[in-house]
Amino acid sequence: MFDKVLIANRGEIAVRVIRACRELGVRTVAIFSDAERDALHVRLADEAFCVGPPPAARSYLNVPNIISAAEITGVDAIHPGYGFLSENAGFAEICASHGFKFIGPPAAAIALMGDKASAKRRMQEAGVPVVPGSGIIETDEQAKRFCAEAGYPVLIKATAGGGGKGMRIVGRETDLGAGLAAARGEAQAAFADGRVYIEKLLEHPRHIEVQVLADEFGHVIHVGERDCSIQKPGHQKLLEESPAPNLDPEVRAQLCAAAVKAARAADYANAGTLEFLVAPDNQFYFMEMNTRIQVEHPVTESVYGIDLVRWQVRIASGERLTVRQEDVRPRGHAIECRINAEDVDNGFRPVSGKLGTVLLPGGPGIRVDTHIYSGAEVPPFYDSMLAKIIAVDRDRPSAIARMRRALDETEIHGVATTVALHERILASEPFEAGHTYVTWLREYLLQPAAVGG
Amino acid sequence: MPENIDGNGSTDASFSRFVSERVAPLAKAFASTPLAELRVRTSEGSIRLVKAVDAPAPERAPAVAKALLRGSKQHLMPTVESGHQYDVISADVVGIFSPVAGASSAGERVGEDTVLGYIEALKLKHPVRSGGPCVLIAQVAEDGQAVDFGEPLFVVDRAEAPKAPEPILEPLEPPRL
Repeated sequence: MFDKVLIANRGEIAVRVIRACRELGVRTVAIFSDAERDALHVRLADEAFCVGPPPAARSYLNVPNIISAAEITGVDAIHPGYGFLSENAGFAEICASHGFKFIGPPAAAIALMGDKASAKRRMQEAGVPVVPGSGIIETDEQAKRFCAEAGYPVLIKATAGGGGKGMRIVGRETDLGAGLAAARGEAQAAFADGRVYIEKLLEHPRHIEVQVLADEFGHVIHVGERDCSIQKPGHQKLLEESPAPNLDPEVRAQLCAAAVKAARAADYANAGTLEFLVAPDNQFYFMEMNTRIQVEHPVTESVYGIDLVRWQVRIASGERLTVRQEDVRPRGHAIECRINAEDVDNGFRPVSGKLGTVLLPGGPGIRVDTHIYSGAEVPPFYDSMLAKIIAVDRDRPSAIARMRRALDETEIHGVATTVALHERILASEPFEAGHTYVTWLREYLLQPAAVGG
Repeated sequence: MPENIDGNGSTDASFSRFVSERVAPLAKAFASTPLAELRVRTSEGSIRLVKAVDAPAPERAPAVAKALLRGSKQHLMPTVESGHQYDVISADVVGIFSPVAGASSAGERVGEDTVLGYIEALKLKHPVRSGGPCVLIAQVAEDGQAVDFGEPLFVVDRAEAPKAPEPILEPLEPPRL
């Protein structure tokens, strides 16, 4: 096992990783920006280093300063968390070349799965179904031919994309040229890579993803699925649950088997997630692989009793994954609500400021992963997530009831949050019935606010 | 909070609009900075904001400088006494600090682009430069110390060095329409 680990991240995930390390008897080094001297992860770590001014590009993405901090403190390994440098194959290589174990998959697997086009190709070769797609679009003519064949509507996506940037839905051929131009421009601005491709747009699909764990000796298991169909406009997840409601057991088994096959095809190690779109006819398609721990990992941990972050550290330190597939069994149902500092009525605009009183829920079956506390600052420079509330209970209706109770207990003063929106979602008939899909929330928000309690 | 707001006495409508729309947000931003005085000139007018400050007891310069360092690490910390401005030269990379042996000692005048020390990071030595003529007040980081971003290394007094040209904020002038 490692002696000391540097956590190259901030917020709740830095806190989560520090906790896992401490439970394993591993000392921790936090990094922080000038804006986060009093952050919880800085307080909880054994050592902490300021690596730059507030903007993330100059602090949490400042590779020379992060590596220098790792050298000075003499750590064995670096955990990247999610976001920031977590899916940067170059960073994984730099870690290795400086003698630090990167707590995540091999750099080659990150590079392979990080490029959506190469990822899809590899999955197709492995026999995992993928959404019909065009490959990189060179000319508008080529785009037109593909769309005519696949049928509208289509989705234009950035090759280097993520988080909904560089995405455009096109419903008919006359809008195709303008859609391509807009997506290319957005992709160029966001990722310095203007290449785009086109996919057939599935109507009313669900987002269901499968957690995988793999050690460095070729043992791969899946840890069940998560339904992440409740998404904000812009394809950002807001609420996740496991197991996926109303999912045919046979389809579930096929999804999980496909995920294991996909992880093997990518020569994967450590924790990862295969994202699929599941159409109403139960056809499913590989979308992308996230080569890191995910925000919504506690849902899986709660249902399967497997500590994914601890396993990340153990696997990276060279341990064998001792969990057998037949021992992976779900118990009950878990739901996670992301509590963001956002003005929901104002297009989910992120808000920042000093928090007043913060009262977070507790009691049976409630887990809260957070970095906030009463009086803490919410800086404007980073993502707007404040906390994740996870409710687990014996079945879905009781987990929903437990989550509603927890949200009712939650008090966060000083900034607008998504708490009330979650209450509305949980009280809505389609959610209770488990009949939601990726664009459901966007449509629901456009309805008059008559729904809910 | 600002104690007084000096306008230029104009009473026309555009100036009062300027005051009502622009001064309040400016004053709020100013209040959150460590600056003691702020002058702003725009095409609409000029204002000077001055903070009410509890007058500190006069102290010897290095003591004042050290006291200033205890708070947040600001790059520029003006004091209210006798027009002195102590400037903190801080680390902009994470690494191991070492002063340049015998380059300068406290009280010494330092030239335009003098290298005062180095920060070694990833086997590269990053020079710590004076950033303009100044008088060295104190070295506050120790030889061999691991420094993080923003860590104060030297306190210098730029006021005693040959004066840099005044910023073009003066004189206050009437608003232009």
